[in-house]
Amino acid sequence: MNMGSRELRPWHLALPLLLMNLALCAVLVSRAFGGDCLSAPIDYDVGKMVLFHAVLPRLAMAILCGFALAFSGAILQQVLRNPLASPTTLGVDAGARLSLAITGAFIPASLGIGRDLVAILGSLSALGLVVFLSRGRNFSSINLVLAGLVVSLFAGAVSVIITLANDRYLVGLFVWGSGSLSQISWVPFLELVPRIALSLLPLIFLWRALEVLEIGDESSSSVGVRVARLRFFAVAVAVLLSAFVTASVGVIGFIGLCAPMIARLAGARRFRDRLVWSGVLGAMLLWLTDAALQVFGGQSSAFLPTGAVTALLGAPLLLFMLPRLRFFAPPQALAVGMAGKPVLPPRLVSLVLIAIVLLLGLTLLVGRGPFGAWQLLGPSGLEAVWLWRVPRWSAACAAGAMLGVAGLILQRLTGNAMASPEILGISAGVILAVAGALFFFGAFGASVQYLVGTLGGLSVLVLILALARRSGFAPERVLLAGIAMTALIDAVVGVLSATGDPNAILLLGWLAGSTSGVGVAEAQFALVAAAVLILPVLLMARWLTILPLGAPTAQSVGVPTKKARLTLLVIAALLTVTATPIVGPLTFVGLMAPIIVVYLGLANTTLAIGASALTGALLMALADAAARTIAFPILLPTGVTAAIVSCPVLLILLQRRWRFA
Amino acid sequence: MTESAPSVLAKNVEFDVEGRTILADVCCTFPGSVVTGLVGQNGSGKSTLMRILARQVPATRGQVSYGDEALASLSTRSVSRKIAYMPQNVPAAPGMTVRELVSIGRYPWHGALGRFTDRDAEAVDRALRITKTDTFADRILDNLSGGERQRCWLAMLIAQQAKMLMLDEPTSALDLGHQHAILSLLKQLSRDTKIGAIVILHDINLAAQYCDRIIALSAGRVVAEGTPAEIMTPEQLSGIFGIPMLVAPHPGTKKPYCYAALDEFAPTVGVLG
Repeated sequence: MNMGSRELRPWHLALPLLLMNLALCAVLVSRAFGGDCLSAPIDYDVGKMVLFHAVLPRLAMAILCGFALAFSGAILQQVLRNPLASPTTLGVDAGARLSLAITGAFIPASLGIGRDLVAILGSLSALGLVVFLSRGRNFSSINLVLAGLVVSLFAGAVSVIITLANDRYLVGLFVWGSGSLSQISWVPFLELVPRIALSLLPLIFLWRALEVLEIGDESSSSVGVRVARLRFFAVAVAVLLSAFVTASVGVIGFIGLCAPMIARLAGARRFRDRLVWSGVLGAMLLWLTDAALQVFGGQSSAFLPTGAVTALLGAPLLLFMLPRLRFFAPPQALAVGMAGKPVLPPRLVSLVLIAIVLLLGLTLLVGRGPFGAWQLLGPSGLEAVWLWRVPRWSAACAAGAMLGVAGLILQRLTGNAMASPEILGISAGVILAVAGALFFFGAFGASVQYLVGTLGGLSVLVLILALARRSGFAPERVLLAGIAMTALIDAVVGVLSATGDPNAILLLGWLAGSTSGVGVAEAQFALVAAAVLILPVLLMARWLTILPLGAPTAQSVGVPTKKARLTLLVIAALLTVTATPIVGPLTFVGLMAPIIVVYLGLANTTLAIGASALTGALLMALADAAARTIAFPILLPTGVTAAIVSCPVLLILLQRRWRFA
Repeated sequence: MTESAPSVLAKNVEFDVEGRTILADVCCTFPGSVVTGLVGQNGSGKSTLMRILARQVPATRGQVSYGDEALASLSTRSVSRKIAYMPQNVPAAPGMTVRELVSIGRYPWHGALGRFTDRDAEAVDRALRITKTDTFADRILDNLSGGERQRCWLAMLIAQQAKMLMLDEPTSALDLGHQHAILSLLKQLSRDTKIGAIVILHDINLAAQYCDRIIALSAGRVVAEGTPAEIMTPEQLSGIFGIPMLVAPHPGTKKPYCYAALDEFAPTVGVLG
């Protein structure tokens, strides 16, 4: 149907944006020439200097970066045939950020010349990891983005450790990490221009082929496009664009996701239109954000990272887009088992479970003596450390068990092995609440912290459920809502931290998940909560068996699909909310434990629930023992230790191909 | 004599999606105890009608009844004791054994918490036997061939002991031999246990061979309804498929068998125009 002139065209958006930007710039310029600068000598005009050496370069930088990031996103979306691809959602940003943080902390001298190289290497390894994690699943939208989030979170966990170790540079790292466009000369801009231009050059040879890709891999190769090669070069271009920007100004999230999305919505149908308009809209959007920040941000505008602000605007847009996105892959992929993996014979099941329990005990007893020698405690030795080690150990076990079961529920519900409590955004809600409380009310005791965190986690849950209600709590919607929420909260924490408040270090310690503050009362609470929350899940084992077969089948055999999903989601959220204050939000135990259980061949649901709880407990106890002993006599935070130990194990386990429908 | 199962009745069923009408005023009866084939072109609304009949989605207007009860007034559990439905694409279900899958069919009877009784086990064994899947009951589902897997899903439906089975293109991914195997299994089951079945089929000749009745949809309306003999006439078939059709007796069974009456260059106006 022809809507004639009423049809939305990209310039309908671009033009008003341009006008708004010009208006804001007019404000900035008049500000520079207003005030007392008129009285200053003409060759020492502060306003003029600020205008030419700070305001204008900053604007130019915003336009250039917005353009480059949007281009990068548009290319990634086309080449991966995935409307959710972007440097942010695929972990490319996070990889660059981490690699720059590592080199900045340990070999700062190398940053002078190798900065770009470091960022590119970091971006590429992050993207490589993401592709590896989601390979063999046709790079379906949701899997790629989930893997991207896993990698981003992992990079975040490592960053936390580095930042904790170098707390003097804390604020600087935070500000830069969240993408600050502040400029004091034209040099960075003039350096970035040729880099961006060079990265764009290969597009001349690529864009035709990219356009053909619209019809799918197989059809494209049948008309003569070498798909693998095209994909390699196009991804390389996208990564270069994003890495150069990150190396220059830090992480500016979501422009690469939003601009192409808006261009598509605004009626840019063909790839070439989408590419060009994405660039234009990306430049306009970042310009608008940055100019608005300068005009309305007041005194703090120089320190407020623009990247965090774009994420604040971008995440709601992603939420808004959710109901409008069509998923090409049927969301029926399964995580219940692994292809061709035999089920563990019953004789061995009990052996495996006994082994896990024995190992659990061992983690309690292992330790290091006063002079650093490794030792196993006997009964008398255990008595001596009882008051310190046992509460900590049992709280870690309880938290691990809860996360393991939460992960199992989420993986079964979504049929996706990458689903985990960390990703549902609930952990992030807990952090946000604690961060907010820390910054507005200052430090407070552990029990208040628990309470505030629980409230935060629960409110995120309510929000996610409200957003997913229309689709009958369809799992992939819930996951995406969770992803958007995680990004949003990340941005808020970034902004709060950038204010330079000394509480930021407290927050970081909390993010890292230190169990050293756990006393007897907290441990008792954790154990009781674990028992109370995990037992009902055993009663829902049948739902957890049937729901992965897809809603039509579940409904056909009489499972109340909506009610079952809602109940299970709420329990998973409560488990996460209870565990997060103990071990922090970044543990990956909720991701790992169910995967290990599948790997062991425990397909039976009731067994799998118990085994997930035990495995989760074991992972966390191992992390706790490692955190106690590795850097003895220094105590490492348990949560981040768990994350850093988990990631390589995850990669090893995923070596075996998983079967997804 | 077992009493015959209640029939499923669609009355003035309509279904709209985003202002587009998928089904318009569909009235038809699917009698219990017989196999009814649901045929029609792509996009004619067959799958949608079946999903409404199985109460997977609510109709925009109109009513579906089972016997003399309105389907909408029944609980999910009690619907699932009466109607078993197999979607067009069944998931791969890795890591599940055949027996575990078939046992899921007992959910309507034991529910979320009830004990898995001897009667449940009996029903599962019987379903495995009927579909001849008992020989590999303890194997992992995803190591089976497409035809074997389809039989396992059918076994799950049988274990459900519903009076009406609804299958959305159960033969679409199967080779010729397995297509016949599944349908003859269904036909036998219906005759032996007096349960009804509705099957969506693309191959009208398969439908004519195995179904007792055929209902044809076109553009969201019922355009033909009757026994295979009544449907298998050139006029009826041309109306359903939009191309000229010929009917000749099958050389073996002597039943009517249809062909598209087109030479290579005939314009297929009805389909493409």
